[in-house]
Amino acid sequence: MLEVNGLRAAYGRIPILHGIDLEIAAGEAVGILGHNGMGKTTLMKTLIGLVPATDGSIAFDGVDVTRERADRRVRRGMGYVPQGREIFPRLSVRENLRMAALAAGGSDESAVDEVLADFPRLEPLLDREGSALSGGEQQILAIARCLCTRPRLLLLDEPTEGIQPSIVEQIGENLAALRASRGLTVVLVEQNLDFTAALSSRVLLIQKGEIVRALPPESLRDPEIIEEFVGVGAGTV
Amino acid sequence: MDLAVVVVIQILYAVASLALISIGLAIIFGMMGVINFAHGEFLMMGGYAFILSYNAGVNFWIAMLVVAPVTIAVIGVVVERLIIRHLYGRVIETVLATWGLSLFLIGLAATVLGYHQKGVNPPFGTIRIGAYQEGGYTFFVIFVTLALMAALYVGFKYTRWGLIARGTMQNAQMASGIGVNVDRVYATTFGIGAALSGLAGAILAPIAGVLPEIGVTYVVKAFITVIGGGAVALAGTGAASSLFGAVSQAVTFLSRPVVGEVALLVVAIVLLRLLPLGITGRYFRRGL
Repeated sequence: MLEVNGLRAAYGRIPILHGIDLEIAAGEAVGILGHNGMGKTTLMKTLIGLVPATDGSIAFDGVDVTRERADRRVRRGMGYVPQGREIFPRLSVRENLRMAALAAGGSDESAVDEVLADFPRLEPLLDREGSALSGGEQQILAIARCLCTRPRLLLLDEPTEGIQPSIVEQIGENLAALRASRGLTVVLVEQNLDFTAALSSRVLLIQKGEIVRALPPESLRDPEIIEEFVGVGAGTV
Repeated sequence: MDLAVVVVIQILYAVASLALISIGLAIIFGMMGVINFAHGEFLMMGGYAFILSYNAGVNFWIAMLVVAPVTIAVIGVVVERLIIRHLYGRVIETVLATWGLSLFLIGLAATVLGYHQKGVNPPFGTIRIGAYQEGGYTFFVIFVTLALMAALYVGFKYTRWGLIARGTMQNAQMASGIGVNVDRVYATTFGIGAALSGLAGAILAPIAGVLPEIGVTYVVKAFITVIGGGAVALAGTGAASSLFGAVSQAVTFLSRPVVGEVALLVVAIVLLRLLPLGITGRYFRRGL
């Protein structure tokens, strides 16, 4: 479904990604682990088209999208949940959802109702402003907003960052259920080992802008691997 | 009593005309963060589009309410495409480029149309209020401005396009990440701002006449109103033009028009000293 070859990208003049190769089959859930500054967010932004690729290619469903604008990729079925949620602060929860449905699907707003059925937790919050929500509620809204664009591929950038553990658990359950019910393909970048292990069918390790190795998800519970991962960077897990 | 009625009408008219000349600039600034120094020339071109098409035989109201805004909207979209789009996020460069555009448009209008003032008589005649009389067109300007502000509010608040425009204004990159064609939203917003400026120029043409440099007289007041109003386009323009229009018109009544203009400037300076981000920097922040 997603094929990435030799992808390079830079932030301003500083090169961040040094040739990423990645192949994701439909229905997979791939976790990419890495510490801060290893290129996780740049990778996600380059995949969705918010950071231009300086070299290499990205193909979605066999179509080369490397030079396409982000909104075109979204309409092809790529969905993006950014780091830090990026909720529209002065739109209500309902407007956040409607905007995504309208932007991606023309005048069709039925996606909003479908998504609300999956996230009943958002129902009582519909008329609140985005900025008035807690971090966890915003994260749920960010995922729900993305689903309103009816994606087939979900790009998730650190959904557990700064979220209280009980909500992290709930988000994990939600995502697992959605994968099953909607047949979603997921690419997740994370620092949280447990969350990644629970959700992913395959785990990759990103270091200094390159995918350095693959890990079986079970191994993330192995103390030696944890030790190694923690030892790789500053030790924030 | 009659005098009081006339004073109130004059104040309402001052507020309305200030809002009218400012709203196009306010929307372009508030939604896109772009400072359009050629705003006055958009008004000037709107005035010409109206008068020239009216003189060519187009119906008065169609020339004013359709030809002028549509023509300036098209010009606005072209300007956005050729100039503004390449300068997003670069305030100084945008100011310089649009200033250059302003000078170019003044020169072009002077060369093509000459320096003599063009005008048409305002319709509706006069309305008697006791011992005084007031032009019927004054009421028309007040009414049209109110209708325009209401239509913009509804458009931004309740339409599909308005929702997408508001979200894009708050976070353009994220809007792109959920499928919004941000270039198109910006081009449309700029076109709407330009259309409103063209319409304002046409509506005020029967009162003020049209000259190649007429934009200069509009642009200063429009800028003061927009800066005084702050980043929230509709509420800011409404609040600032109410304050400035009321003060300048009231002072004009008590002394002379020149003193009224001075009073407007003094109020603006004091306001910006107290509220550097304009009225909507502190109040009506959640408005539109």
